[in-house]
Amino acid sequence: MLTSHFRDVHEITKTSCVLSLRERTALSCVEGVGIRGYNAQVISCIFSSFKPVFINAFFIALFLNTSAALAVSFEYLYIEANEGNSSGGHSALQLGDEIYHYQHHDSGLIRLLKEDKPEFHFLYRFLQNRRIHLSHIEVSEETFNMLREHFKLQFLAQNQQFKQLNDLYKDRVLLRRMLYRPSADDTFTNTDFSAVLRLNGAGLFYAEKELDSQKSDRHIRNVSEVHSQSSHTMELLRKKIEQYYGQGYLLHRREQIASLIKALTPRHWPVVKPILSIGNFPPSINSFADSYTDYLTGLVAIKILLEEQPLRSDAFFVSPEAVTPEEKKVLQRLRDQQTLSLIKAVNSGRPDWGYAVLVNLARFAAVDLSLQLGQWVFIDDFAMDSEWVRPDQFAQHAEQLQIQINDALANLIQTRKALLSPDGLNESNYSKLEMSANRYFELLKGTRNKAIRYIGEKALPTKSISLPDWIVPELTQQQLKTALKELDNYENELLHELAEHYRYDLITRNCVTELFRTIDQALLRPVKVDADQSKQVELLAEESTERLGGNISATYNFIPFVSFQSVQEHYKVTASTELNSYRSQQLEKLYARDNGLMVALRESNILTSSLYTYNPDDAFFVFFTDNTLVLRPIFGLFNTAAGIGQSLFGFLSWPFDAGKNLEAGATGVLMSLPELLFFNMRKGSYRYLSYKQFLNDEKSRY
Amino acid sequence: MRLFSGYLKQLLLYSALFVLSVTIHGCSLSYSSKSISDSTSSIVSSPSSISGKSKKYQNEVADYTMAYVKSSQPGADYTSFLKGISDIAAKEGVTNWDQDSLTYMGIGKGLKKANVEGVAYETYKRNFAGGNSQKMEEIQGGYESE
Repeated sequence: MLTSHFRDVHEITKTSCVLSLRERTALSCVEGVGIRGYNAQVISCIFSSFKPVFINAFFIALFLNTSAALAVSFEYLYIEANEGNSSGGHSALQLGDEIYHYQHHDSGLIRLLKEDKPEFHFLYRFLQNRRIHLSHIEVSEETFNMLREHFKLQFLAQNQQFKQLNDLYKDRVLLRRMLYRPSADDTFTNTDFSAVLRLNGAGLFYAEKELDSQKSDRHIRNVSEVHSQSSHTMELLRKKIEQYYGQGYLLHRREQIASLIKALTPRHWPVVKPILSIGNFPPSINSFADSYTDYLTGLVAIKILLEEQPLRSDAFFVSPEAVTPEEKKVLQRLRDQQTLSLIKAVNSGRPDWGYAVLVNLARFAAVDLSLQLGQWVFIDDFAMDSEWVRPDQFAQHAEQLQIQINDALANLIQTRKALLSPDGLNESNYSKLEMSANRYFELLKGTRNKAIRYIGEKALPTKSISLPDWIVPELTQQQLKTALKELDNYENELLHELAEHYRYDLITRNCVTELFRTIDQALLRPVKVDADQSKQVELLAEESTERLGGNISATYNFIPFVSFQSVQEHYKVTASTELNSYRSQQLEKLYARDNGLMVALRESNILTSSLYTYNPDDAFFVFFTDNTLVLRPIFGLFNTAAGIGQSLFGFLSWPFDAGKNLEAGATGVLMSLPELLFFNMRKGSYRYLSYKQFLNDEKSRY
Repeated sequence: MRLFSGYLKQLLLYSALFVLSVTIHGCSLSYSSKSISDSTSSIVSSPSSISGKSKKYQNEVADYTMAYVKSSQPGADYTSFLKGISDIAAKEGVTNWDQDSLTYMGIGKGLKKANVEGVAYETYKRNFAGGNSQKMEEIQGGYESE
């Protein structure tokens, strides 16, 4: 089955290569391209034709390439608006293969994010269907490194700061639970508690609340009582561990952890002011809740080994793919590696060794079962809160999802091969194989009219359960109250400071202003940061002019579009490029292939378009207006009418759809009004495009 | 006159964009704390993203170590440092990071990047390796390769 699929994929790839080769020459000469892509493009142009325009392009490219060798460049990105989460446009900074951008979170704070370049472009240009305007800014290598290091440090520091906020929240939930539990029922009723504090990996072996029913004094049952559940695999591993560390090791380890839990005390949160300083890590503390959950996870891991608890039936799946003789040898070696890793993990000094044991145990069981059955068995690696696609949604986007199935299959074949290569047998490669298999077989379910999990796959299995009511730290009410009070004070202080540094403001602190402020901080750092405040502005202007070609004030450049113009005017911009959105890119291909008028008419609206199937994430509209400036107000009129129509319908359907239609209709009207004034925001978006297709398109462009 | 009309056009354009931005949303808004990687992790696990992952992992460990060391205060908690490494490794599908030489090479690179030298370096090396001589050698290897 796999082989025949592979042949199909191969044929599809071959066809698309033939097509793209023809189109590439036409497209690559029309579109702007990045400096790095000039070589490939120029060669392609020269071989296709020797028209003067291409010869000019060759010399321009040669010039740009020469200058690129002398200096490096980073890129300023302006991402055009679309409806939904970014109707004001967006800005980002591309430093090598990493893209940094600020995003407004629902907490009301703005955060710096770091993304891989291809993933960022795929999300914004393909899925969100937005054009990206990009300016290359020439700088010295020293300046480039300075910017990159500063953004990186800022990102890591901010991550740590927000992690601490999350840790405080978890500590609060745990402390409150411990403090108020005696007056509550004996069962866990606090929803926060079971939602926030989870034992990752334990859900692979136990159902939610399954461990709660066991009383705390009997949280480890006697081995002799569980004959019916005994698993040969777990028994084998337990024996190996006891052979290595000695008889009774696991029991001793269990006692040791139980003592550690009893002696566990809440962290003393520091009362230092200020807690935060931009760019610095806050005090690094392993929280009380984290320590407690880590210990409990360890206890669960030992319990599984002692009781020979098998995997839950929904924690793994048996694929129809047979294990080949070569793969069998590799799996046997992998099983030996896993045994060794497991033995080491049980006695590891790292805080989260329990989770490592659980993952190793689960994967060992899957590999062992694969060898026994002669068919590939994998652990289910989807998160419990994965996003689902219903059968009707699958059917509506069947064509695009079929492409994804083909991609997933090609990926599965490749990861299976990778495991067979001489250096391929390692944990990382096995994780990739596990991910590819999960992806492929999950997508396949859609073709059988079943709901599928589309987003939410993890590189490591994470199925979790809430904390079992076994054993708690031995703390007095007074100790708990004091700890909670200390935590309150610290949390208030931290929240106050986080708000001071990162509170989102549409005009004074948004995705654009913060990019420029971070650039300023990076430049100011090597100069006298502690210099007089009044001199700092002057120093910064000098430094910025010397290193970037000019200075841009964050205060006056808070609109993404305006900031892009400022960058072009003030910084040393060597080239600017417009990177097409998915739909525009596909439209160009259609225009190059088919009759222009027919394409224009067919693709102007969502009813006849071959490039767009209505995505419910978009408010309802009829005409696309991003590629037609002259007809925009007329099309906008139709779109406004459609929005009003949907709103009216929404009024009627309110009791049945909780106002969903009304909201979509109102958004539609709001998005259509600018079109009446020749402005375009809405472009339509996509949910099920292929990442592989994006990568292939990018390759063929450069 | 042409200059004036150009100005006017630009002014109108900026005002309209400003009003639109104010009335609707500003820049990118994330409705959840999920990053792009979270929302596309399944989709982007393509063959092309396989190559260079180990180098990326090592660099991520090095950057994290550098940032931690540069900003850490006396008496810093090593346990939380180790948890940070676990988070980085988990994204690469690695749970046995403490048995992987790439991790310790990355830590060594990070120490070098942070310009840690002499006694401070030896202390960090011993603590991060948990006193294990092989791991200390791997840290040293990473330190020297940077």
